[in-house]
Amino acid sequence: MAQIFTVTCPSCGGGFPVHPELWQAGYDLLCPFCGRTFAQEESPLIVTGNGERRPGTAYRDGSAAASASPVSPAPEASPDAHAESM
Amino acid sequence: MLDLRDFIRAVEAEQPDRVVHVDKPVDPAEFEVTAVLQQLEDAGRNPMAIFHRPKNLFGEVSRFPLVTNIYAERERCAQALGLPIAQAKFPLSLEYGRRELQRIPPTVVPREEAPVKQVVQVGEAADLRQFPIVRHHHMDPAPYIDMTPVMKDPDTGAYNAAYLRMMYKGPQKLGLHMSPRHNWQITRKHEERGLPTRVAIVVSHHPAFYLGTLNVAPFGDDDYEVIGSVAGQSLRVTASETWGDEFLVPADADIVIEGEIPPGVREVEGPFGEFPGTYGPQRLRWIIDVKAITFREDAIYQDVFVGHADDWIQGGLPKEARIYNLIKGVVPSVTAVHLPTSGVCRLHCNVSIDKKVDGESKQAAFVVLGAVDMIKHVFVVDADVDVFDDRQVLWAIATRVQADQAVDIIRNAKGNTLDPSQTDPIMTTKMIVDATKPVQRPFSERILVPKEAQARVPIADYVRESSQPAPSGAEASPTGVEA
Repeated sequence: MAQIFTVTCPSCGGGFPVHPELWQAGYDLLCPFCGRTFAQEESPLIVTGNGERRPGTAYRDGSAAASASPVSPAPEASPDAHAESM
Repeated sequence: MLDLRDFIRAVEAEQPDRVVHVDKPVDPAEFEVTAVLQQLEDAGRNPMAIFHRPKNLFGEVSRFPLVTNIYAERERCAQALGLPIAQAKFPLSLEYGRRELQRIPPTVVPREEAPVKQVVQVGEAADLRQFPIVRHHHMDPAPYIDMTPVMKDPDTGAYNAAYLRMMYKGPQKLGLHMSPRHNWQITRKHEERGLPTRVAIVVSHHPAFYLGTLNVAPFGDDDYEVIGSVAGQSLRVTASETWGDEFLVPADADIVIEGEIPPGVREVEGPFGEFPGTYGPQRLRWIIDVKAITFREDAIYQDVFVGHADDWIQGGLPKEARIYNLIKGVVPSVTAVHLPTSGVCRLHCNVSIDKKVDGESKQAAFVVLGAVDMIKHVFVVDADVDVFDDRQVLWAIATRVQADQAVDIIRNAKGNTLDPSQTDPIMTTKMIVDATKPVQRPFSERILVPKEAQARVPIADYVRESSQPAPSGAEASPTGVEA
């Protein structure tokens, strides 16, 4: 479970885990606590997989996210053939 | 014929103390179902729970009662497969393994004979909000259906069923999480051809159906045949509403949702409380467009308490016999295999052997690690230790292990992406703990109260609880101390 960013919601302040595949694709995020959808750069605090703590604006162009991640994101066709929970 | 009501009645009759009822209305989408289950679990109880008046996503009392926590005790899994509850430990695993190797073809029945067709909804009438869909843990962003979608391989025509999580996104829309296993392969094949993937979500059925879906048969084997074999009877199937005879659905299910996964579409899904008892992250995942819903007039909605015993036990049980049989081929002295709930029935494996030669323990452990990549820690114990009893396994580790001699660490092995301890997305570190006694040198024997002495003084005859009245006359206590 190395590939996690913790993102803070700009509305309610709740923190939740996000996979880099979503992050690097530039998709808006969904806060599980208040239901708000927000752009990643709106987040007041993002903690990367290697422990770096920055506001979302630091990742506006996407490049910082890529460099901050300690590992490459898993491709869709990951060889992880037994990753399902059962 | 598999009927969920028959199973519930059987459990009520044979294990009435393992069933609880909730008659007051509860709101599953506001954590009130799992809140009840959590309190029971905290009190050391894991009963099957029937909620008679759960609310649907409209906020009204649903027409569907809700049953959950069915699999949280092995005794109910044994009952589901028609075994005596006394065989709920390793005999259940062995029987599952025996049945899994066989195949019973499904039986196609006309829709008139299919209970799941008693109510048919298509188009906008097929509204997911009528169901008491459960939001399980505090970071789940929405209610989730966590039962089994069935898909059909476009090349072989084989059906595949698997537990997958599905996030409520709208009246006719679900998010779908898949990892690269069988249903993922089927979806990929459709996407490469630009085609939608047909999916029938079996939301509720007899528990034997779901235990059957947990088989570890190779990709390409037809799950409808394996499910029939595990259940001990041919699975009755019937034409779907959306695709007719081209896609068959379980005829005796309580509820089936038919839908399609559009190719190339991904949306935000998660986070979700997963099997390790931790959250999997928010991801980009597939969606399902709902086309039709069919159900019995008296349908009962079903849910699994994911990340708890209800989820763990059914995931571990099918693996135990498979591992045992593989070890048996290399270490014939193996006596039992168990994936304990303390290791979420995935990450820990206990193996007992009647060791004849030093080195057999490690040989057995290698087989375990090679057989199931989810397993991270293997504990090998002697046959005098019950692998189903964590206290005994920990006792063996405490008294029969010198760490510098009995513990082996294997780095850079394939693990599971949901294991929160992994620092790499794919690889993990594994551990073998050999908690067996040495064969080649003397070793302190385990203390033992003679069995024949225990048989002479059965506690049912000899022990009086403090709350019970003391005997009078000759059997009265000479100490005069009586409760």
